Amino acid sequence: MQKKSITAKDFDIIFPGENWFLYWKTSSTLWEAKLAEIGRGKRIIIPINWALHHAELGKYDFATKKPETDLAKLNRVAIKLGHLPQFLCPLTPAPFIQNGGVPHEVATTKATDPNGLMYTTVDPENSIFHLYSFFDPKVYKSFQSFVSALAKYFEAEKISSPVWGGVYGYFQDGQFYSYLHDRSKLFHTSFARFISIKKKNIPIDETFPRSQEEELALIHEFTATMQELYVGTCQESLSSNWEGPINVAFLGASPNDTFNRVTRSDNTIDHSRTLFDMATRDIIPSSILISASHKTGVLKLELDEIVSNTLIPAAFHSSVSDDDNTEYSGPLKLFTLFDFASILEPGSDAKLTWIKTGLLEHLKKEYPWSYILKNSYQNDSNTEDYSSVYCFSGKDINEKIYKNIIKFLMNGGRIILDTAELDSNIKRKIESFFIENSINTTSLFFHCDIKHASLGDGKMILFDGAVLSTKQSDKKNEFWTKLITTLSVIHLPIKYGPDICFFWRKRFDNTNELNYEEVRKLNLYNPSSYKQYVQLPMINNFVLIKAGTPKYSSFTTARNEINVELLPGGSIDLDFGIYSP
Amino acid sequence: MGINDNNTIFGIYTYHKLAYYFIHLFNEDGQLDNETLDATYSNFFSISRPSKIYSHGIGPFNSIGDLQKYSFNLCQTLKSQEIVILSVEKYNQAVDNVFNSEKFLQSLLEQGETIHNIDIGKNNIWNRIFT
Repeated sequence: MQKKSITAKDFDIIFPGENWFLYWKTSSTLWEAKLAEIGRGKRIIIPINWALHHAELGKYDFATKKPETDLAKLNRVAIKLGHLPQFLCPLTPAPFIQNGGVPHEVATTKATDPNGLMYTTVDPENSIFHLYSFFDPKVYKSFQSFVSALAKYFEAEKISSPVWGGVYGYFQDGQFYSYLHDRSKLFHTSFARFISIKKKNIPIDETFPRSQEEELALIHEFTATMQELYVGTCQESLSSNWEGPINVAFLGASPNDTFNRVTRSDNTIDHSRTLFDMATRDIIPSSILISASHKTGVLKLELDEIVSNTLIPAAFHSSVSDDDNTEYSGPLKLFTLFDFASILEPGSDAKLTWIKTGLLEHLKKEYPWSYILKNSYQNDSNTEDYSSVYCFSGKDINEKIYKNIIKFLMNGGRIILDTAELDSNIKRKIESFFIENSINTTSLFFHCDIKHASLGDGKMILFDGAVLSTKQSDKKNEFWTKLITTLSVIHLPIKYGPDICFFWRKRFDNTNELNYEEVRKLNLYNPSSYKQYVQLPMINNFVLIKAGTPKYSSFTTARNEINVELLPGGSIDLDFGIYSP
Repeated sequence: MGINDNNTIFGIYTYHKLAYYFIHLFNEDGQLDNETLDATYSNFFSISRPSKIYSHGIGPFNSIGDLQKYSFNLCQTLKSQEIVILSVEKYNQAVDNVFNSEKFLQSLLEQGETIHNIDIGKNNIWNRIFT
């Protein structure tokens, strides 16, 4: 029987971006036809629609009533077509489903943003969704019951595809906020209970929390505890399929974006800029809330090349399914900045360590989009990136992290450590480690105290961030310029115009490229409405291997540089082979 | 475009530490830019806006009256016909049962307090008389 091809509009509704498949938006009889339309061997992201599967309290629909709830069939069909299904179980309200995906029976209190405004999101069809709070004990209990039923269903149907936990959120003012960043009345009630438990250890006549700063830290701790509750529930029930939580930030989903979206004034340049900022955080961008008509030209290329072909394969690298189809081993991250207190409340004066010490500003200028900021450190020897300089804030170092840092150093890793607020015991242990292992250390002063230690290829640089933070910006910049030169960071500086965006990716080499130690691809984009130029000075250890098909762009090579001309909406990619200096 | 044919501004304000702040200000072209908002504030109060008190809002305004006067100034600066202002609570009430973006602005208009830019109204009357 000949199947009708789906219309472009239908396609965009069911596949709204980056191979997300919203299975409930089409009949289950058409799943196979629709999944076949995207080719073969794709990583399909399937967000589980909790509300869809909720039949009544304690009872769930997995193909017992609605055919669209047949996840086993969906999984089979996807695998039959050579795809890699990745299920996403919601750990927060979902901005692409009405009520945030919370079943109607338990949706009582709407979630609000830090300013008290109800979270509202706009989908590509201009429908408005309100999100319900996950701080409701009824919601949690219902979630627990649902995940247990889901796990039993997966086991009974022998579904072995990976299940990830979707921490859904948005990006605003340079930060990722999950929808668990909820300040509804329900949050405040639950937080008050949390405080009263903590207060049991405080003298009765003492105010608690004692300061705004302490209150913010407690809010952060409470929110993290709630997140862990939802994560733990999934980990326990879905154990054999469970891969862990993953942060997903939706373009066009911030409270600011809502007003731009309802007035139809959101634009692709803003989305493009936000996308590049997102790429420097430990999050996966998603464009499924943006209409297809906005995802054209350069933005579409960026979403395909950076998100679909690079960030998603790197993040969804599963222990269950192995994917060798991607050309890229991941985004190039020359620096990994760890700062555990990376969620800031509006109006807070707190700043990240890497803002206070000027490193973030320095990296934005000298190594744009070639760094990543993470708010947790999960040591896993399979995922340590020895090509990246790891930067730690002393306040985050506990016994476990200290041991991992030493292991990283001994394996040839490069580390920068801010000793401000470093625990004195840990500081003593580091000093003892240097002495006991006869490690060469050099102490000097350059705008602050610095200690430099080398162990083979491994390097650790300790500096006093408390002193450095008091210096002017130019001094901080000078400090980082000098310090980074000692770390053998191989990088090609680029001269570019104001709206140019670019992204480096590490590429697997092919048999003709085995002479290079590394191969990198540089993607250049011009999302602006005017012609722009980019210059790349050719330094000794970079060799241009090839250029991809230019789109509204061209390049020329001169003696010591490559000159690129990008027309409005233009893009080009260049592959470089790299030798050690 | 409908509701924003007259370039209506919408403003949502909150009360924080004994003062009022606008947390969102937008019109048909989207969010208003901070430079314009800061400049209007500085002209209105003859001082630079102290941004450290509540860095995510325009203010502080000591009273609703000051907030309203600033709103009127903004209308004049941007040559808008009117500004609709709502508190956070009013905003939440307004959007609670709205499920499509067409009705969103209509609902804000109905629930909010509208401040008209009488200068623009006056010009229209004169235009009608003399043309």
